[in-house]
Amino acid sequence: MMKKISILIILFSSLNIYSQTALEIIHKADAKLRGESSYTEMTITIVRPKWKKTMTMKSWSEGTDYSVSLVTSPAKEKGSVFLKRKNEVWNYLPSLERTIKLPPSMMTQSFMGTDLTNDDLVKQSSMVVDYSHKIIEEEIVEGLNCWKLELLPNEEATVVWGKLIVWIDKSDYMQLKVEFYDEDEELVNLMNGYNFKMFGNKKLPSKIEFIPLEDEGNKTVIEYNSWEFDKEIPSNYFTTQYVSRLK
Amino acid sequence: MRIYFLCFLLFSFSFSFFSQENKKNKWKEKVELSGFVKYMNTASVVDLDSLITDNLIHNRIRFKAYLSDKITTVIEMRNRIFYGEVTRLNPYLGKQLEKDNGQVDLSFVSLDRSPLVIHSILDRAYMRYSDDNWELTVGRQRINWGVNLAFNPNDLFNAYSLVDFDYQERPGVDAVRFQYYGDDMSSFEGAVQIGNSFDSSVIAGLWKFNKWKYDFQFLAANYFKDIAIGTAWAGNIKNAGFKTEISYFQPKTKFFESDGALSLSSTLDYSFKKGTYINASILYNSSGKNKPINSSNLFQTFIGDISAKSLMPSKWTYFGQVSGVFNPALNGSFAVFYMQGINLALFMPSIVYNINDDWELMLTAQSAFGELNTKFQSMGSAIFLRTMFSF
Repeated sequence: MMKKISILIILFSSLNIYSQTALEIIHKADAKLRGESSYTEMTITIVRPKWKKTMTMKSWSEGTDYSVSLVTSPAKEKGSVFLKRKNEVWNYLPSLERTIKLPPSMMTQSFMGTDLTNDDLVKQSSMVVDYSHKIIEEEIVEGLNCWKLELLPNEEATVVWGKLIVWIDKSDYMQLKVEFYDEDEELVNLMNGYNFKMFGNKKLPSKIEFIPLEDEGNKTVIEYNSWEFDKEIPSNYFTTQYVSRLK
Repeated sequence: MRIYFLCFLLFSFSFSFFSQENKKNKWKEKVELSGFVKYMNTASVVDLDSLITDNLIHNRIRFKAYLSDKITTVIEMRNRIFYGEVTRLNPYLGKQLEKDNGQVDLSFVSLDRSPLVIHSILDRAYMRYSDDNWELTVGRQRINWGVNLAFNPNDLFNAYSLVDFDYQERPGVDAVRFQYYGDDMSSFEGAVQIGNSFDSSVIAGLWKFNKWKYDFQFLAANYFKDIAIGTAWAGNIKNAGFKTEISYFQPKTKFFESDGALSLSSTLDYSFKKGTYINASILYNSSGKNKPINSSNLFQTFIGDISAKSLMPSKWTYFGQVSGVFNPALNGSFAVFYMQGINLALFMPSIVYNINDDWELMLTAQSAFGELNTKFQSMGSAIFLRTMFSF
């Protein structure tokens, strides 16, 4: 009897350790991407079967709550700013010289015609807090040993996905691949990371592509041209008063 | 007054050139040049058997120079070439365009030979000093205090009409503006639009802050012949956006005896999955009309005469807009204004096609139906086809 109980205890505690590890892995991968603060310069390419658009952006972020993005090209959209503070989002339009507060429902919309939603861009912490995590197996992706994790949304979480499968490499905690499933467990989106580079002392994929599977030939590619971590960002960068001064 | 202002501008121009001389190697970091060129063809229909067309080449050049870490100069020029039947029918167009409403005359008609008119105006020309938590801006500038999309009773300096879709930038005002930024998104702003007298000036203060996930603002002003007070908020009701702007104007003469004017606008907006966006707004203008105006000069009432005090000619105006994205290259919208009492509806469908990163094609129509001499009828339509190149 005692033996059975202790086996059960060992079993439970090891299960516990196993799930702790899954959370830790996600947490490490997420913390690596974010740092205390970060500054990025990126090129976003929207690809359609007969059409293509390229934009460049600069983004500053602090923790999980504050981020601000400035569009630097093309000319027509240059100077547009998206500011996020916790759950509030504003959009500055330079031609009108006006900042408009966006309704929360705007967060599930496509970001400037890309295959990413506004949420995808600003709510990166979601994977840690909004899901429960489990390691399901180990696989090789892009020649690297990876954990394959299953993420299921918590009941109270306001997320659009029914399930995520995430591949994270064991040596550098890079997110190499994510499968996005809808509420009916159907695979709808795919994310791949590749072209690994050193940004400061962090190794990260410099190119990430998002592929919506229901539309053939559609994808969005994000290329990080610069990525700096733990850089001091003045707190007024994350205010509606500063949006017209960003450069 | 005008002369001082002009001297100041000239000083700022020359100053900008001198400082560039010294730092030629950093030219690109110090100076930004951008803008657009648009060609628009307009076909106006009054009756089905009379269609008149017009052409407009519209160019904007934006020049921005960072003279130092703290000093910026901005000059923006709007150049337009009008030619066609509508231009021919208005022999006074050149004279009308020549007039500059600001303190300095920065408007020039370089050719006025029917049916061709060429007009240029500097609608931005200012210098800005920016410190960490305050800014001072002097010169011709846009001061935009509105929070709503369609109607902005708080936009004291430069009221905006969605009907005037080809001039989002709006004319600037000749003003001195001081902005102080406090903690947590609070700010205080004071602005003076200089006129020749107290009654032709706007002197206004604005206090903004963010609380309970709402943006709030309060304002008080000497607004031409009135004293104005106002407030606005922008927040959410569940997942929908909820914004309201209110301004009240009381005449200074016979302050206690005369009736004031209330301008109030409230908006709900919501975004559906797949990119459909809806906006429903209401505007109350206490000094507006409540019966048909029997005017044939419609667009003047929508665009020409608007101010924060009277954004639409009717007492009650309703606005609805649905916009959607068909794909990243193609998007469309449909907007309706309905003026109760005046009994007039304006429909504005629009399609925009992004040819590539720099070129855009837009097809828009404006069609009005209303009560004219006790009959509800079509009051004219216009179709606009516009090509735009941004640089």
